[in-house]
This record gives sequence, structure tokens and C-alpha cells, in this order.
Amino acid sequence: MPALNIGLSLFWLLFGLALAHQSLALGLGGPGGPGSGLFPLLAAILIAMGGVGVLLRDVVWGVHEGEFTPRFWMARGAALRVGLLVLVMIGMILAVPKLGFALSGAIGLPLLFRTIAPRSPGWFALLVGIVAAGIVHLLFAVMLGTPLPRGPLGF
Amino acid sequence: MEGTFAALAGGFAAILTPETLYYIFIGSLIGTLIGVLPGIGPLAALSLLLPATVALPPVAAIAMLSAIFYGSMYGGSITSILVNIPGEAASVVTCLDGHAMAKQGRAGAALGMAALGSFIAGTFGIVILTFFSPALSSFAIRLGPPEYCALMVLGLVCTILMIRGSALKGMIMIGLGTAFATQGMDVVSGEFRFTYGTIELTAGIELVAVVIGLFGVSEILSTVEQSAPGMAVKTKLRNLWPSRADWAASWAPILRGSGLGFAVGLVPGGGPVTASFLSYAAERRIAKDPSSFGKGRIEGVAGPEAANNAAVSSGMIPLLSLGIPGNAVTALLMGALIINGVQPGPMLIVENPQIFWGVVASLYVGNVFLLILNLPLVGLWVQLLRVPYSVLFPTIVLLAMVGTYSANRNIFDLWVMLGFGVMGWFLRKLGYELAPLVLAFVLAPLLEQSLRQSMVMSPDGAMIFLARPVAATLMVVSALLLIFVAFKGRAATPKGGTT
Repeated sequence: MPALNIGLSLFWLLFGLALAHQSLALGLGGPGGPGSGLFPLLAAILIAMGGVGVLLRDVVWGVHEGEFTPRFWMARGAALRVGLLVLVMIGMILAVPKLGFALSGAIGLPLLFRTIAPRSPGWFALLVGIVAAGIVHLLFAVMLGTPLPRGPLGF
Repeated sequence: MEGTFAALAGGFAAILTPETLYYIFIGSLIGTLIGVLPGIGPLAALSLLLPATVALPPVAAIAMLSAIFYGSMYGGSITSILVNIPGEAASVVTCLDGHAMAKQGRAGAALGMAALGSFIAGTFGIVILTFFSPALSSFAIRLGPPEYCALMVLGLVCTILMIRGSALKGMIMIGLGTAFATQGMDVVSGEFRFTYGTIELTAGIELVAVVIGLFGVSEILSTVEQSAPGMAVKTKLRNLWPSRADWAASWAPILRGSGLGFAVGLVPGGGPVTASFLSYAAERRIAKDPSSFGKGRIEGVAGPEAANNAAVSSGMIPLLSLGIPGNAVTALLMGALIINGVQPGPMLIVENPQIFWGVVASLYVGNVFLLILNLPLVGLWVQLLRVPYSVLFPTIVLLAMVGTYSANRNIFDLWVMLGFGVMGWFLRKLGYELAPLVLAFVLAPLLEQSLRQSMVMSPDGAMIFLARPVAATLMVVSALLLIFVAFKGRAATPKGGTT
């Protein structure tokens, strides 16, 4: 995966440069002491230097890391599972202000369950979702008294 | 010495209440559970439970969170030994000989020695912490902002040195953590930094959302991607108490592991994972027959398990005495202290002795709880390994969401959590370690504050770091370590190693 590694290193370099530009705009300081931009500038330098270092190592010196081999989507249906998980989470975050955590969980968790265990029966997925959402609600809202967004059902 | 005993007695008096004991027990229980179940590390568990501790008294909160940390070290060995899957990263090496022992019908001895070795090393670490921390605190009180700044720089440099992957990538992660930490209003000038007109960013990014995203959500994404199968526990457990021969073989590795783990835990960037790997390597190196390691040697269980627990105890020393976390977990514990209105550092023992000594006393009590939980109740934990992933992970997703929300009661934090989760999953794929990012995220505000104070104090700008002996020494050590890291990387280049 050297191409991806190189691409990300380029991104770090550009990100570091952009951050440095914005840090300079914030000001590095004056007689009163360091300004708001000094510390972010140091962070930007670290990021950009790291990006350049990885680029030099991978492109100029031709050294690739031997300690790991990044692999995407090795297992069958992996991309689908990861994509669905992220989508369901996005849906749940959007639903929380309107439906509350308990109801969003009761709807979202069976979908997550089916994403991970597609051969399980639908009724079991629903049961897992409702029980899990109930336990989490009980733990945070009832036992710990955390004020959570409520849905149309009042919880 | 007498003063220390009296203060420790005061700490015990503070925590020996039904309420605090209950929270230490709950922490030990959750920690063991987290350790037993693969896929949820101590960091994710701590971040999930951090919001729940806000309402607790500070001692109970920190005692519970600490118990989760070292409880996970105890519990991690159970899964490693029985099913050859490490419950958490520090138990990876325990798989090698622990599971081989289980296959030979000696799972009981392996589990027993892991628990007893952990207890001995954990207690050893706490005893040293008891006597060493006050001395370190009284020395640290005399340090000024330049020394603190230099100490934190040294901590971050050590983190780069100790990470297992590429040092360059570690450097990028530290820069990234620092950059994220500077978002929001600058408390000195009142200027907004990198908020881009977003009102939600004016208070900065929430630590809980960052940690749950990086270590909770990204872990779930990785596991879901692999479609983890259920685990089959076939081993029968008997004779948990190790035999005389087991003790004869294990006492020296436990002592060595305790010493090594303690030293590694003290070093910023070090921690239980590094300690367990180093201990295993040391035991193998000094063994008469190194080739027998990996085939069921009890020394390969006793040493690393002792080392990872000793590292947990010693990791508390820089946090409690200096206010500087050495790894991501202690960084989170520091966040918990701050959320509870307690500023860790050398003044903690002076201004809040009941909290300092209460936390130390809770470590002793927690270790006893864990021994009880891990020896007689090991069968119960084995049953938990039968919980299918498909049930476990959706529940963790909802827990992560509610935990993140409850820290600030802000929906925006949920988006931050998801964003960091996806980012963490992607970065881990490309060999980026996430712990330096969290460590930098927590340390950056303190580092920036001490840097600014140092610069204001100094008529010669940055020269103040070279004009004061302690700060200069620390800066020189940091520079030498950076040169060492660079040379190590260059030396590895012809072999195709890492930098």
C-alpha cells in the first residue's frame, strides 16, 4: 500500500502548511509574550516535517515499513459491513434529537445486529435492540440520572 | 517514613466506606470484564465510563477508573490463555505460553500464576509508589514553568521513542493531537483558533468524544470488518493454585517482571504493553533453553503478567506527583481528575492529601478485590466469552453514543466521535499509533501554558530553557533522544526497517 501511504504523507505536508499559514495569521507574539499562533505553528511544523519524512523515506530512499501490511476489505462483505455500520450510526445521531436515545437505539441496534449477523432471525435482532437500548437507558437515564434527549414516547 | 504511614492510614480511612469500596469493586469488575472481552480496550472502557464518574466524589471516581485499568490487565490474561485471543494489547505475549499450557491441560496453573503474579507485581508497584511519589512531589514543587515545559517535551519525545511503529508517524500524531487541542478559544488572548465560525468549536473539542471515537468506534469498525467469529472455550479448569514446581520456576520471572515493568511504566510513553513484551524477551534471553518458549513455559506467563501490572502502578507516579501523564490511559485519568475539579501535580499531595492518599490506598484494595475476582470466579468470566459479538457490539455502539453525549450534553460531540472513529480506523490501517495523539491532546494545553509562562518570564526568549540547569538538562536529553531515534531509523534503513 505504498501509494496510499505516500498520498497520506502528501496530505500531512499540505495540511501542515495550511495550518502554519493560519497560525501565522493568528500572530506569533510580541512584547507582551507569545501569541495565539505560536503553539499551533509548532504543531504544524511537526505534522509537515513528519509528512516530508515519510515521503523521503518511501519515495527517495525507497524504504517501506516491514512491520505491518495495511489491508482493506480482506473478509467477504467487509466494505458493506463497515459502510452500513457508519450509515446506521449517522442515522442514529440524526434521529437522537427527535426520537431520543432509547427509541433511536431500539430502531438502530437491530439494524447493526443484522449487519454483523445477517443470518440471525429478525425477531431476535429486534429483541437484542430493544433489550440493549433498555439496559443502556436504565443505566444512564435512571440509575445515573443523566438527562438524555427524550422521544415522542416520553423516554 | 512514619509520616507516610500515617498519611496512608488516612487514605485508607477515607476509602474504607461502603460507597467507595462499592465503586472500587465495580471498577475491578468492569475492568476484568473489559480485559476478558476482546475488542474493548481499557482506554475505550475508561472513556465510556468517564462521564458517569462526574457525579462521584473525586476519590471514588479515580479509584473506580484506576481499578478498570489494572482490572483489564488481570482479565486480559484469561482470554489469552483459554482461547489464544488477547483480551487487550498487554496480554498478547501471554497467548504464546499461556495458551500452550492450556492445550497441555495446565490452564488452571497458567491462570493462577497470571493472577498471583499480577497481584504480587501490582502490590510491589504500589508500595514503591507510596514512598516514592511524596519525595518526587516535594522535589517537583520547586520546579518552575520552564522545567515543566522541558519535562513535557521529554515526555512527548519518549513517546516517539517507545511507540512500536514508525517514529515519523508518531511525530505526525503528536502534531495532530496538539493541533486539535488548540481548537477553540485561546484562554489567554480570547482569540478564536480554527473554529471557522462554528459555535460548537468555540469551547474546543471534547476529550471524551475524541477518545471514544479513536479507541471505541475505530475498534468496532475494525472488528466488524473482520467479521470476528465466536470463541469456543473447550478447556476444563482445575488446580488454579500453582504447584511447588510452578512457584520455583516463576518467582524469579515475577520479581524481574515487577522491576522491569515498574521501570518501563515510569518512562513517558512506556506502559503495560511495552513492559510485557520486554519481560517476555528478557525471560527468553536468559533461559537455558529459549526454544522451549512458546511451548508452555510458565515463566512466559508469570514474567509478562507481573510486568504489565507493575507498569500500571508506576504509571500513576508521574501523574500523581508531577501532573504529567505518561500514556494515553493516565492521560484520561488526568482528564477525570480535572473534570472532578482536582488538578493533579506536585501540589495535589499538599492541597488535597485525602485525595492523593485515598487514590493510593484504593490501589491496594483494588488489587485484593481483583485477586478475589480472578481466582475463585474465573469460571464466571469464562462463561462471558460465550457472548456473541453480534450482541456485544451494537450495545457498545449505543453505550459509546450515550457516554459521549452525557459528557457535555451536546449532539455535536456525537459527530466528533464518529469522525474520530473513522479517522482512527483509517490511520490504524496505515500503521499510525493513536495513543500519542491522545497524549498530545491532553498535554498540549499544559505545555502551551508553561511555554507561554516561560517566555513571559524570560528577557531572552527561548534561551530560558538553556539558562536554567534542570530545564537545560531535560532539553538536552530530549534532543539526544531525538537524535537517537533518527539514527535508529537510518540504521534500520538498509534492512528495510522502520524510522
